[in-house]
Amino acid sequence: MSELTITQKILRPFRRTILRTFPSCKEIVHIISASLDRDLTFREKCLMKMHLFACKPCVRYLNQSEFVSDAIKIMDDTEKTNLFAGSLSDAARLRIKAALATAAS
Amino acid sequence: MIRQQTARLAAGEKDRMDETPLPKVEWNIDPAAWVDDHGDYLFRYALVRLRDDVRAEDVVQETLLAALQHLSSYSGRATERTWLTGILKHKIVDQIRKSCKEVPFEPSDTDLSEFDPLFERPDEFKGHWSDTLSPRIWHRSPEDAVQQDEFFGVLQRCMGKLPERVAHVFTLREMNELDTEEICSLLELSTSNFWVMMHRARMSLRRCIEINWFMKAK
Repeated sequence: MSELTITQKILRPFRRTILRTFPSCKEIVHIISASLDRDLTFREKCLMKMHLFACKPCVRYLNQSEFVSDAIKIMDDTEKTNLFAGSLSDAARLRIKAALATAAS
Repeated sequence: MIRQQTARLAAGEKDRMDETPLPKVEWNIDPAAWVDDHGDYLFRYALVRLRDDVRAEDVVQETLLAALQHLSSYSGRATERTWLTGILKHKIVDQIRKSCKEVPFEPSDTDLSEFDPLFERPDEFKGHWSDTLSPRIWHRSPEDAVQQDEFFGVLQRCMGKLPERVAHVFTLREMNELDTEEICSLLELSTSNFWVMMHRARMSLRRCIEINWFMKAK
């Protein structure tokens, strides 16, 4: 704890009070997840902002979840599709070709 | 009325003008070659979203058959692959709706108790992140991760670990970008269950990727 800077030392009691008095991380992570999908209510916004001021792990949860969401959107980019493993089985290939031939005739 | 007719006429003329430089020739479409040219691509595209080989093969077949029936709707403006992918997207949503109808909704889909250990502490900060299981500082850069093919393999495996319905909800939202109401009515879900499942997917994926990518040494 000796590595704390002066600002951190001053803010520490405020942070601890917030964590003790207001909803816990377990509840705030729901709001953080929701913030990626919808507009938050005023109350939710206040609770989240205040909590993020006091809690480093939740800041990481927010940033890292945002990253996961962005990565999935990159994965959705059709050009990336060929990166994935998997190919049609020979059986499926033959079956689909046969179905196409029947439908075409 | 007259204005409408003129508009329609103008639209008709525009269509004809558009067609002039692209006359109705066969666009070198060869359905027999589709399986070899685009089969694996379409299969992978479907597999990432359905996470099931058999279902992915089925939608590829349905897609190509539908394409064959609607050959005339292919304008030749998009590439053949883009056109087929467009049809595939609809077939995937149909497939997800079907597979969600087959499996009844289980209360365990919205059960978040698997995360309880992450929020257990011995001290007075009840309900806060456990010191050992809280989100870590990532030692590998996220910008770097998305440049690497293996990262997407990890992401794909992590999505495969989600319960099926949770994964469907998350995929529809994040990859097909349907909005909340569309997904809820498609899968007959209440909005509150939808939010719980989205949260569950986010919690699991973040943690799975942290463990399997960001905490692993290069």
